[in-house]
Amino acid sequence: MTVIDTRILDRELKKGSAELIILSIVEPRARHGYEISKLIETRSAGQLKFHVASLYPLLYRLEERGWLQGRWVEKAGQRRRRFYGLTAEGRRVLSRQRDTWKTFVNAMGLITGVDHA
Amino acid sequence: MPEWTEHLRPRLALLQLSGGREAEIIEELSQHLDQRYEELRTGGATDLEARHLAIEELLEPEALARHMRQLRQAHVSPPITPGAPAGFLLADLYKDLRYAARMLQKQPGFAAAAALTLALGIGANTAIFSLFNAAVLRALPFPEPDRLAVIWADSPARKPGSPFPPPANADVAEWRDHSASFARIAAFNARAADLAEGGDPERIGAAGVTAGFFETLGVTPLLGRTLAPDEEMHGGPPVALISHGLWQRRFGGDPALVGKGISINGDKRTIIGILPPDFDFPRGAEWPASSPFASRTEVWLPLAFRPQDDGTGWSHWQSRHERGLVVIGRLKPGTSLRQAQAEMDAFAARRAHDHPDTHKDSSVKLVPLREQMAGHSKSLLILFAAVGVLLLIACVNVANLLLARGVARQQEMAVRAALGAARGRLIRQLLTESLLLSAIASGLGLLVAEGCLKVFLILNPVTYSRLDEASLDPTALGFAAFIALLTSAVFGLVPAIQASRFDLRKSIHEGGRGGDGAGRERVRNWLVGTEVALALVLLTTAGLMVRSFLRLQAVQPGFRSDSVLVFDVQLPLARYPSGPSQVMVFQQLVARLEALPVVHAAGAIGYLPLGGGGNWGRFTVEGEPPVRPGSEPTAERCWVTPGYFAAMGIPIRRGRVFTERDTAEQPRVVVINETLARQFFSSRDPLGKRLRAGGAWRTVVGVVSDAKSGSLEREGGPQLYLPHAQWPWAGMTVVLHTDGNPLALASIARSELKALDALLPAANMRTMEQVVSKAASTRRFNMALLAFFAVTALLLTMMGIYGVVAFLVGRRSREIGIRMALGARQGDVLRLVLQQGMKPVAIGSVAGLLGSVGASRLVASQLYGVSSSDPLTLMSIIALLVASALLACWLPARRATKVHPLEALRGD
Repeated sequence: MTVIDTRILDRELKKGSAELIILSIVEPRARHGYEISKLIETRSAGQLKFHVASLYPLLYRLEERGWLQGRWVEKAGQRRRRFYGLTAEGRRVLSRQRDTWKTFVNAMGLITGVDHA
Repeated sequence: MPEWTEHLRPRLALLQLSGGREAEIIEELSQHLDQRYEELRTGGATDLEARHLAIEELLEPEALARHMRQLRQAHVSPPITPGAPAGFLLADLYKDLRYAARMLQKQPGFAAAAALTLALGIGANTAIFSLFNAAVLRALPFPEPDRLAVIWADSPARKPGSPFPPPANADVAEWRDHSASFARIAAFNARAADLAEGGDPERIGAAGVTAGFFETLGVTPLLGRTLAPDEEMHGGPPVALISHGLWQRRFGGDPALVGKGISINGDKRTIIGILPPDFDFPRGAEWPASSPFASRTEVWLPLAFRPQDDGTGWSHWQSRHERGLVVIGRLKPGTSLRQAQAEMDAFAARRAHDHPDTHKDSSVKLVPLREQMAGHSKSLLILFAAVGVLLLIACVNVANLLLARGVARQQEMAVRAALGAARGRLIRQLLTESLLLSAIASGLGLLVAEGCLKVFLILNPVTYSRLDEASLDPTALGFAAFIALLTSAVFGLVPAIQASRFDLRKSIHEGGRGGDGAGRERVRNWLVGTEVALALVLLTTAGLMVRSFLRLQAVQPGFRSDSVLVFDVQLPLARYPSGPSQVMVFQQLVARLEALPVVHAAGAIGYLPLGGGGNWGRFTVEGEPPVRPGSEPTAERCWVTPGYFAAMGIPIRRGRVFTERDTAEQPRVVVINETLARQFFSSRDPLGKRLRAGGAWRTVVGVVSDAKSGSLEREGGPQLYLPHAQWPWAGMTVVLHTDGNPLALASIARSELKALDALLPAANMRTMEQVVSKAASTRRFNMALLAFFAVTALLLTMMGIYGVVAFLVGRRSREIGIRMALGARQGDVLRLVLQQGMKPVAIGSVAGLLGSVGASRLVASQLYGVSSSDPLTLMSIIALLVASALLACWLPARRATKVHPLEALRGD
């Protein structure tokens, strides 16, 4: 089992899992904001929903950190749209966050006796 | 599709987004809201419901801004609006600096003129400071240097300004044993050391020192040890310490040298210690000529005085007559110099009471070592003052430039003030520009300083002994930075205050022509007046120095200086212990040299005139009423070989000079100089009369003219010449009068000496011209520097006057045009402009004249043969200044006369 630095764990929990969610959603391919918000909603069976006022600032933050790259894409006959894709750095962060998350959930299961599997 | 911009823009307004970025975000979010709206509509919502639900995605109005605030893109710095209301101090400073850089870039001509002017001032100051730093501040690399003092004797007979005489040996011995104020007292004197090992024979500077010499200074050898008490006396083990430099140079830094024996002056001595690299004490230039230390001391030998008089005539510790030791003491912790002086005063009073024959009126003078070693700092301070004045003039000039520019920038200032800039903020912005300017100038100034130091080294005056150590070290760099800061405040403040003081409405209304021009003009006139006054002070001082130098150049030293080669020969006492053997070597050497076809005459003397050092002794004239022992007159005693007078071209006034027949076996004879003849024989014929000197009666056989000996400036006193054969001496300077370039003879002279004794070095091979030039080198250095600074000051002042008058002409071109249209002739216009331009020059000259009188008093002690209020100098300097000022006014004034009335009127 991965041993977690307690400071990292604390920070990750504070930030919540929002970053992990976004990074996972754009992992297979670049997506635009509306698509990201829809996917979150559908994949969580409507339990999670990101509003515009929080989703976009988060995207911009991840972009500033260099984990996501936003690009305007123009298609014939359509308005241009901004797509967000994972950068190499983002991919590394995602894999690290996944590990942390797994360890955390595992630990929570052991402590609380809630079976998550 | 609904329009979302009106909902989005207010939500983003709280952030500092760049215009482009805001548009992008609005576009992106609008698309999202569009899609949401369509989705809701597809799901059956009405237009109103769909709009409402979509906007709900934005949550409460501040949510978006709250989430975005920590992003970098939300903090784009606004464009620079100079003089905008203050935010953070550092941020403002950065902004101001960027703006200032842009302003200077826009006016490269102004920036270059201002920066170069200041660079000259800052550079000259930094260079002189480096000199001062090396000569005064860094000269004492000893622990607790302020506890070190030099102990001199003093008497009412000493002329003010002349050096203190050394104390008597017996006094030193007493202090060493009994002083309550000093933790340690050490004494030393000048020696020379001839080295034969480790290379060609070489003469190097040496000092004889007592045990405790190094401990008094607080120096520990790098290798080995210092002198043990039993090694200091005559007959003690032959030992020596050497400098790090000598160790490296001649012995390749061999660590096994300590404990080995080397030959010094023909004696085998054991090296017991090697001193650290920075130890360089004593240095010739830092001590009076009576203690002729070499410019650099590299060997330290035991002083080797005898404990008491053993009848040989050698120095001993009980002598109350002999005064030749330099004495230093380290004060006990907590003892002040004043307490020590009090102890010494009591001692002197006791001595005067017990031994009136030798110590009547004699006192003791303690001089801090720092002061002693910086004895020459007075002339340095004058140079410092001169460069300070130069810097001030440079500042005034730049202030003038800034003022002129301020007029052009009036409108800019007005606009900024209208946009809400506070006056303090405007001043700060302008001061930042000055700061940037002086930062650039100090960078250039360091280059100037480096150049100056190189020139100083070429001029190489002897008295600034540590000149070669002067460098742009961190202290000097710090000084330059400090000066730069100071200058920026000095030249920047007045224009900044002026520029920020304006009538807003009037300024904007008047456009670029500037508001209260009259006030500004007044300030500029004041500045020009100041500049003229400062330049005049500097010019007068330099003028006096130049005149002194010219006077000194005209001084006849009383001997021939061209075509004369001189070198020193020191016989080792181990191989030449007796007087006759010493006399023989010099006789043979002089004979060999005289036989050379290119040599007109050859001779030798104990202490070469102007060569540093000398020997003075008391004498009595036969038939004169007896005087109290100890108060007989003194004369300089020179022992010479017969050919000396011919070689040096010293004219014989009466009688004869020495011949080969004046040997030790013959009756003792003496030749006197004209001063002695005049003072002690007045109307009588001195020939055939007898004097008692050096313990014997001697008959005067000749009178020669006076020759300068100690310095070019001082009038020589009475001189006695004794034949070397009757006054044997082991160290002589050989003098050769030759044809053409004397240095061409050097190698022949060396080989002749080698043929006589292969181990004897011919030291200090030089021409008599070099000796004389060296004697004037400090004065030449000071004069050259002052003259250079003064000329620079004059040029800067001319620039300043030119700038003001040119500006005045430009501003009044319209008025001049009207005057000319109304019938004024060119001469009238010329007169008008010159009057205006010369007014501040006249006022400045009067002020400068007063300042010059004060300044020339300060330099009076540095003058030679010219009074500090020399009317000729003052008049010529004023004439020079007025002529320069007229020229500076005339150029723009002439342009004013070319103004065409119509053009001037149309120009508005």
